[in-house]
Amino acid sequence: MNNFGSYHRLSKENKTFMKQLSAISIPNSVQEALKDPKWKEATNEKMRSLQKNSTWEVVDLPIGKIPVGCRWVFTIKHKMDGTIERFKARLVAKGYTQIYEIDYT
Amino acid sequence: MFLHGDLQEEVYMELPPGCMLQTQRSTQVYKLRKSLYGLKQSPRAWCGKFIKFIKSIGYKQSNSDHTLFLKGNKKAITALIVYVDDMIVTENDHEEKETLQIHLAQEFKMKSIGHLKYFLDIEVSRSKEGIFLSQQKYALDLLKETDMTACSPVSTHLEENLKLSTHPQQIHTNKERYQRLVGRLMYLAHTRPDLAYVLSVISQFMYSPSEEHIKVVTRVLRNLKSSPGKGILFKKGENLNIEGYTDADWAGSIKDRQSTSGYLTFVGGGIWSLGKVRNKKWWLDHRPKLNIEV
Repeated sequence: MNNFGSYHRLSKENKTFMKQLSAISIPNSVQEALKDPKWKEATNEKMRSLQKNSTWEVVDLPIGKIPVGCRWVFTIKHKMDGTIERFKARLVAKGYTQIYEIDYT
Repeated sequence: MFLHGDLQEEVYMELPPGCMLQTQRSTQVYKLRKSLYGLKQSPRAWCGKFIKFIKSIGYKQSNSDHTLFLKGNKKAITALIVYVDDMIVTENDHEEKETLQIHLAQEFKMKSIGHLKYFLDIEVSRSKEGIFLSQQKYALDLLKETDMTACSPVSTHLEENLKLSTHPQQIHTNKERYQRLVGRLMYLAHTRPDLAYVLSVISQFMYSPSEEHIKVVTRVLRNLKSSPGKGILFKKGENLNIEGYTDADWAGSIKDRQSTSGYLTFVGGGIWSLGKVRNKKWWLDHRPKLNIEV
């Protein structure tokens, strides 16, 4: 951030916001995230809530079926004043590998 | 919220990376019961579930706008409009609203966040004067995105007597960027009907924009800079009469002698809709019904 602009013309709220943006990096991979306790906790929390909602059951993959992949997406939720509300992990399915009439109709 | 949709199809998913349990075998997968972000069928699964629920508590889906649900009679009515999992509720039946809130909280763990302030980039503010709709943040973000925050403002959208056209020798500009900017401005026209005319001009060159055309867009942005907070005011106390205005330019086009007509409707003193029709046949068909002199 320091390389691209100066802070002095920003309002006070914007300053705290920009500082926080630069201070915390969002992990791009789960390996990166699991090294950091706060992102690890966000991941665990999401897994707990998905299990609580009975989003899935564990089964053996039937022959001939192709599972879709999935990945973690990490975001920081901010409050209106720019301070951090929480660290959020979201599990997303790689729906773009689904094929019309095979995986959905 | 989006995850509440029940999945009809058989979908298998690999175990999430990084969460592999020791006891699980590598052939094991998740069979999904609920939809998940990213699946092709997720939006439909959610929509199906929501519509089923809202109908079960007595709401009817509107035919003119499928995201609008209504319940009530002539005296008391509750209206709910939904965009994915954000919704606006308005009513003159306080009891029904509270019942609805309880239902939504039970079924989807939704909570009311009070008076409407911000929805789909439209800001809503209330004062003694009435209700004001604007897109100031959207306008300022647009200026920021186009590096126009430091530009010198101008007072009009278009130069007087400007005639635009395309010709083979024109210097082309980045087409995607032009189309994107015009699209961004079109969304802004929701609360900025003053953009309507200039939009009708610049959107004619979407297929082949030139340096000349992008200059017009830049000028619109410079005008925006002078008043990013302008919007529509629905005045308090004014009755909610619907007023309509129309005007016509009979065979006014030099090119093909087509007629152009325009219309505006107001609700409670605030502009509600506007449009332009440029079609001789439409005009001839509708003139008797509209009872308009030309």
